[in-house]
Amino acid sequence: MKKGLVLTFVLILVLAVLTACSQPAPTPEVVEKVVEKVVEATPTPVPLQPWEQIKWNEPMPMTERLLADEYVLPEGWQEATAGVDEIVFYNSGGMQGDIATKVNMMIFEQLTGIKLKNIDVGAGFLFAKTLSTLSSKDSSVAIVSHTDAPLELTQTMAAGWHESLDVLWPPEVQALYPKGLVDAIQWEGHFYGTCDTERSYLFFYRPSVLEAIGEPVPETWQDVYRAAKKAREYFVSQGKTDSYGIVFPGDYNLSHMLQAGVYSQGGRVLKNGSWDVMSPEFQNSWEYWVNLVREGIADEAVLGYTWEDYQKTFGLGKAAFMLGFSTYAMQFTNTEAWPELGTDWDVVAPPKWDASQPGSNRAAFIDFDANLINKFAPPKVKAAAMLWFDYRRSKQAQMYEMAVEGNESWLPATYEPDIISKVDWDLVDAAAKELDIKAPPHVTEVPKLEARRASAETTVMEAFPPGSKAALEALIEYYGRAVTGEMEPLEALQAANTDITKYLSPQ
Amino acid sequence: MRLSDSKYGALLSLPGLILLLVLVLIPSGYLFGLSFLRYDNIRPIKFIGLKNYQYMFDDRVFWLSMKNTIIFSMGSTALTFFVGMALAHGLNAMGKGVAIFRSLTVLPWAVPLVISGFIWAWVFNPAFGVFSDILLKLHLIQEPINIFGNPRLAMVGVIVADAWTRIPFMAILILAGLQAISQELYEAAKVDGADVFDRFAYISVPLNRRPILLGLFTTIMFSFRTVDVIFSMTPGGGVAKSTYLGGVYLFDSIFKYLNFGVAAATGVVIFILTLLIGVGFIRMAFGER
Repeated sequence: MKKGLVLTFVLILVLAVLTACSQPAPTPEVVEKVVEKVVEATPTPVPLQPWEQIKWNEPMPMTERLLADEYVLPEGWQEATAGVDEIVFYNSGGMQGDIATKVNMMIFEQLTGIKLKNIDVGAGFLFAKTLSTLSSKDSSVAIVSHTDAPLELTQTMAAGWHESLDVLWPPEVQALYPKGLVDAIQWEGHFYGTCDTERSYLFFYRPSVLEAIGEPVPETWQDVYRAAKKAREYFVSQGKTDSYGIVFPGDYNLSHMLQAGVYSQGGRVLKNGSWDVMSPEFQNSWEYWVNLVREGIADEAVLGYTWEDYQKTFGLGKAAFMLGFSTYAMQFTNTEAWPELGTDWDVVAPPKWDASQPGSNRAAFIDFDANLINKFAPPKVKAAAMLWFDYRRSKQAQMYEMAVEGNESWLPATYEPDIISKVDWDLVDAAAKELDIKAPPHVTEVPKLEARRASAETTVMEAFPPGSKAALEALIEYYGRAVTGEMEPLEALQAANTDITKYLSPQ
Repeated sequence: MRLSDSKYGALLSLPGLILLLVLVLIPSGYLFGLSFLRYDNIRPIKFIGLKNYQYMFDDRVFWLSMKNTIIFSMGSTALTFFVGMALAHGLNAMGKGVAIFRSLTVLPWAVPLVISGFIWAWVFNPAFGVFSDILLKLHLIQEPINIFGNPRLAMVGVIVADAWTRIPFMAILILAGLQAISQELYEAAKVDGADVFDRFAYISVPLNRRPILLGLFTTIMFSFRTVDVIFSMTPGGGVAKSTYLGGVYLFDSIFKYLNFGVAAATGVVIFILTLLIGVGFIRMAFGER
């Protein structure tokens, strides 16, 4: 009896192994190819998908619909989305922090009668959740989101898990948006993503500290280094030993700091589509950010800081400078929430590397959230999701992101001087009430619009190839080794490069 | 019809066996199978034999994660054991108020590890955490202690957070064992002149061997495959990967690199190692039967 049971279990185990090995689940790409072949061999005409039935250029060209002060729905959307009551999507973080998304959801619901249901997922878990949904072919969530889009997009697009959005991206529409972002949402000639928000970087400084150390507003990263060093000395002399010259993140967003250093010299991180960390520009940037900690100008604690931690640290008045998200230029206007900082802060576009660089190199990286459609969702829901994407990239929707929430618009046309006059504040208040948060102030002008526009104009976008998360992990690890003195800065960078080469080579 | 005892026993075990089959055996078999596939979600899935294992064993980061896992497991288990043991003896000796203290002891057990990680990450944060703040106010330190900025201290930090949630289980287990020991034995030992350490070494520990071994085994097994506390305290595995454990290597292989084949191979290795630890402890605990 006992032997029989053991034998049965062993047999089942062997069968399970054989099942996994001999009948691997086909990837969506393989399924698509098979379907394509079958379709090619079938002479009967293929019925149009629901989203192909929408007349995206009626009642007016798509570009005009998108640029109108009030978004215009395309014709044929009712038939394409008939029967769809709800679109479920993953939202990065809690909706309480995304008032513009909430306002846009309300506008879309008023326009179409289709409800949007957000499932809030913490940014740190979003990719895992998305991956679980896609790999299990769960059709219940139509829209997935990448909060670290430049690193994550290529991976899931390559896996073939998303519905193509080619209908939304004819050349004339592509021309409305920054080329870097348009390039980033494509894979092998097809569009898969849209972007709802983006965050460019601004250089934050505290005027009172600059005054105390007798330094002007830094123009170059070399100025920043000198001033930050003086600021740290000043803080120590004042007994504020927990305050530092500059603060920055030690997690994934560390790469944004390194990238800022590279772009400010006119360089790029990618060369022929692959990481090039041994370029002179990258080496300079690497040594710069390592030495800031080694010389005690920045706290070693930055190694453990996330993108949120370091910006909060600046908000707590514990640093003189930071290269921070433009979103915080909006957040810090709420002086009640940041009493330690108060009004003692201002922003300029990111510094250039040194005085020899042109002004156009006052550039940093652009970070954006991407939305994609789950390939396994029902066709009509996918059509409805595309309609929502179409609205979210429009001037009206982007206006709320830029003017109310403080994100940057990825539609340059949004940056009009009088854009704020078009905001429906009653709707914003209603959204705040629904979210049970304090309504944002009814501002009469967009905070720090000039600096934000200047940053948005020079910002650089690079979409990294699949496997780049591993590459970045290697950089972060060796950055830690260099900062703690375990390795010399360039020795650590060389070691990281060895790992990166391995990770990006096919297995 | 009358069933024989063995058939009746088998029949009663059937639901459990079916659960075991569905939730353990089939997934385990599938895991083994996946570990032989190139399954990176970029190229078509293909049988590649042992190449995932080769890739993993050639990967410096895998070995680093194994080294860290051993340090972490040993550290967490040791801390859990010693504090749990002390607590259990304290509670056992306590008269009045024991129920309140026992309840308080159990509280951290109810906290999920990922939450424990967040709590301790805040406690240890040098900029706004209470740990450094208290020490600064007591003038015991001049500058905040940067636990997570220091590769050696970071490991201590995650061990503390992990042990904090495991100590109650260990304490309750040992306490239950202690309460099963007859008081007469202690009294007889006292009469024979045994001091408190003798009573601990010659009565409490030997007669409590199985609960202690069970506690140790459970702690080491769970800490061996920890991901959550690392995830919340030192995202990415800490400075210079100082807290990068085997479980995190597995997690990253799936959720960051989308390489299910390598992740499965890692899972198999962790499974085998955990199994070996389990078998070892079971032999130690029940081998004398």
